[in-house]
Amino acid sequence: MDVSAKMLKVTIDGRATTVVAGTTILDAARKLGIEIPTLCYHPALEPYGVCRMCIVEIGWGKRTKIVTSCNYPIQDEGLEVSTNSERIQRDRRVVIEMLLARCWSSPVIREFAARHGVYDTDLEKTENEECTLCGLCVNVCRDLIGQSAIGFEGRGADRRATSPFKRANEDCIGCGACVYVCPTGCIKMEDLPQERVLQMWQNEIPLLACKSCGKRFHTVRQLEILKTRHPLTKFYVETCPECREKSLAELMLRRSGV
Amino acid sequence: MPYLGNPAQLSAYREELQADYDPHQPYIAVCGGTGCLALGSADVRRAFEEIISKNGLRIKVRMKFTGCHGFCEKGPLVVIHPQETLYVSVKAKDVPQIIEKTIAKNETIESLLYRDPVTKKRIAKESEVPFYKHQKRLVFGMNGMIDPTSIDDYIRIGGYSALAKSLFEMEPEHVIAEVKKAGLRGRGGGGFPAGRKWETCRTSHGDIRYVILNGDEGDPGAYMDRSLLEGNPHSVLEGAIIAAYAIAYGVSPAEGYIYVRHEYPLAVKHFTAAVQKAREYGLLGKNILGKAGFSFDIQINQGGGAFVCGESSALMASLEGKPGEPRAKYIHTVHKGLRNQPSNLNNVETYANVPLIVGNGADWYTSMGTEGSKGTKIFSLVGKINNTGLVEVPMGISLRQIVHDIGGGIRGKRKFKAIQTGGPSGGCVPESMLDLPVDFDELTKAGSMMGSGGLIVMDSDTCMVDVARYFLNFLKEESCGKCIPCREGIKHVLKILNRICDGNGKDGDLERLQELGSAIHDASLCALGGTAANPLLTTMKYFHDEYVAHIREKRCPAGVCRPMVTYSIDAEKCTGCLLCAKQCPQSGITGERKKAHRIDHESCIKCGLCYEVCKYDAVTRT
Repeated sequence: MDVSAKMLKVTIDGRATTVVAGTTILDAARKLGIEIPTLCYHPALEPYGVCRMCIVEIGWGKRTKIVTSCNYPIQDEGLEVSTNSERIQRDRRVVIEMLLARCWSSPVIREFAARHGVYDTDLEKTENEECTLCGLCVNVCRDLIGQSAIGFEGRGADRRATSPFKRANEDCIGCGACVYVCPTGCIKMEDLPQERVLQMWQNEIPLLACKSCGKRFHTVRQLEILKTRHPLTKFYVETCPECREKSLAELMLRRSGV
Repeated sequence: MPYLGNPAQLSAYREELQADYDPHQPYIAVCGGTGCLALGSADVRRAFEEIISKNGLRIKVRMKFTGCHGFCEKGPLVVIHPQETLYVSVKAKDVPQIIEKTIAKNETIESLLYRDPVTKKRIAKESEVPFYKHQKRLVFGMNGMIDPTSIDDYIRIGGYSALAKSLFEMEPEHVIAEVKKAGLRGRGGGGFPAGRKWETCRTSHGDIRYVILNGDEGDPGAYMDRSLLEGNPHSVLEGAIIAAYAIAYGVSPAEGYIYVRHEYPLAVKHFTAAVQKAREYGLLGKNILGKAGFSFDIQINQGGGAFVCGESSALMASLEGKPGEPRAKYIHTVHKGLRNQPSNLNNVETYANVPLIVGNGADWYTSMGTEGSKGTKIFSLVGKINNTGLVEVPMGISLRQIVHDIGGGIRGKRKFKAIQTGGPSGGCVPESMLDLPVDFDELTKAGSMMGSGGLIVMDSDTCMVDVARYFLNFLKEESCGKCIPCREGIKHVLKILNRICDGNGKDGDLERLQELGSAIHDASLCALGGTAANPLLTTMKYFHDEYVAHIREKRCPAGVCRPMVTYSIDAEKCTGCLLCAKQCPQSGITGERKKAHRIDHESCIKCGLCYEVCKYDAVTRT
């Protein structure tokens, strides 16, 4: 029997709905149009559950407990969820304060906190820290890009996202997926004339020139990976998107006999 | 070396071992636990060996280097059987005397006997020493009787008979039912019913079932698991093999792993040796004891020293070669654990209880303990008490009995103040709650927990704010840093506590600490973070006045927080003996002989030496 096909009743903030067993509380809530704040959640990745913004109070009658909605799969009939109980509001505010104290220098985080009613905190603020350690960069690099070029070092308050031994490493192909998923924008990527620079990972990766126009458009290592993993034509990987488009247009024109 | 191909061969082999063993022959048990080893028991052992081999004694005598006896403070311990005479703090030079008098003439050596600090009387018999008298040593009981490196010793005293009984007289479901009926709960801290865990693991879907032994004991000052693995490794192993049979036989193959601290070299050595011997004897491997279709083996993994790896999901991640970080366990590890397969993880002490339950029956086991907690629990009893060491007590015994009857009360003239149960993330319980029974649920209700079994006793000279600060500092160092509340929250709590202890506390700090503590408790990812606020929350609850004194009056009632302490000399009481002036490392005490002294507050570093040495109570601490 396929267990996942089972339908379960769930009540979120007093609104009843039916979901497929295994659906996360977050997905069920979003389907109902109930907004739960998230920071380390990305729909393309396995929930990591570390920012604790999406905590909700669940229960069966009088017994309640607090769980993260992003990774809690609904498994029981009649689950009652409160996304905004007094306890949740208080705990969430304190956790946002902790986040704000850590990332006071991040405009994104200050804006995020303000949106949830936290404008300042008396907790000691860390200077020059924009990384929330949400793990999206590390997880995207490992799970979607398949490179594991970056990871965490240190324990507790010393935890940092970093390249191994804080050195340049060849596993980083400079694809920029980490830059794309970072919620605070603290991972910077810059294309110089000859190379792509990812300061946070100490990496400078040579850029490849387009065979047609000479513009540098992706990194040498990206090309190697693309060639080995995907059945793409030589033309496709060696030509920049603009030239590809141009050449396709020319081809079509030729075919139509112009 | 015999290969035991069926249960009859095991029984026959046991009878053979028993026939060779004369119980009336004098037998010297030298404690080889880590505590006694550190105090020099290896020298004592060598001295015994030399004399026994050289002299060709008239009386045949046996000597065994056993596992931990528990009374580590008085080590090296030597027990002479059959009289059961306990000698404490034995040195190699005492050995000839022990042989000449006690072994040869059956005389007791008074000076080596334990002296009760309260009654000042010497006590000869081990079981009559108060430290042992009030204990119930089931799991630990055999530690003093066997050589942990000898599988034969274990078999002789009945070892592996519970395994034979399980395999040939009981169905796996029957074993699970017995463990459930016995009410065995996880000894590693959580207190989850072991039988229920086994049952869920058995009925879960998977291609293989993993049986994992958690020996990653990380609480400071706790060494129950260590002593068990060092002193009686086969009891743990037998329990795990029975668990593997109950969980996997007839449903899937099973594999075992033990995760043991790298810092426990002797435990690793003894357990490794036990596993090897068990393989040779046919007690591990294919078709164990000849049981068709039941194969099981155990691999030994050493932990890298992270406290958090004692948490089950972090431990499994570490076993997989990943960073030891916990994950949300909304899908339990019994369904998807190691390598996403059903995995049963129990503490080593939990496994050591299993042969006792199977061997003696659940009814016997449930005769000890309370409604919700059965059997016994091993604690490491440390702190400001007279008798420290490892104790095994029946569930339900009161904390008062442990502190006063077994622990012999508080050292010196000071008074009891608090007892911390459950290790660093446990809670501190005050004197008014000393009648609390040792029971999973009762301790949790009081805001503390059973934990893995650390008991730290504190006296009136302990500052509870400082205690909270100490444990939070430990937890800050050991937090993996994965989730915000644990990583950031503990850091901020500690900053506030440091400020309070420095005399800079302010109004609103208590409310703030309460709020942070609750958020850490509610919102952390794993149990480590979830319980990290316990030392803070319980000390704030039970020792509220002390926090208030620190914050409002800038005063540390216990005189521990140096920035708030002032030492002065009472001119009336001072006899001018010069003792304090001589001791002062700053030479900051002035005064002539037989005239009242003065402390120069400018140079005083508040070390408290003057306070300690004064015989006339003339130095005051405010």
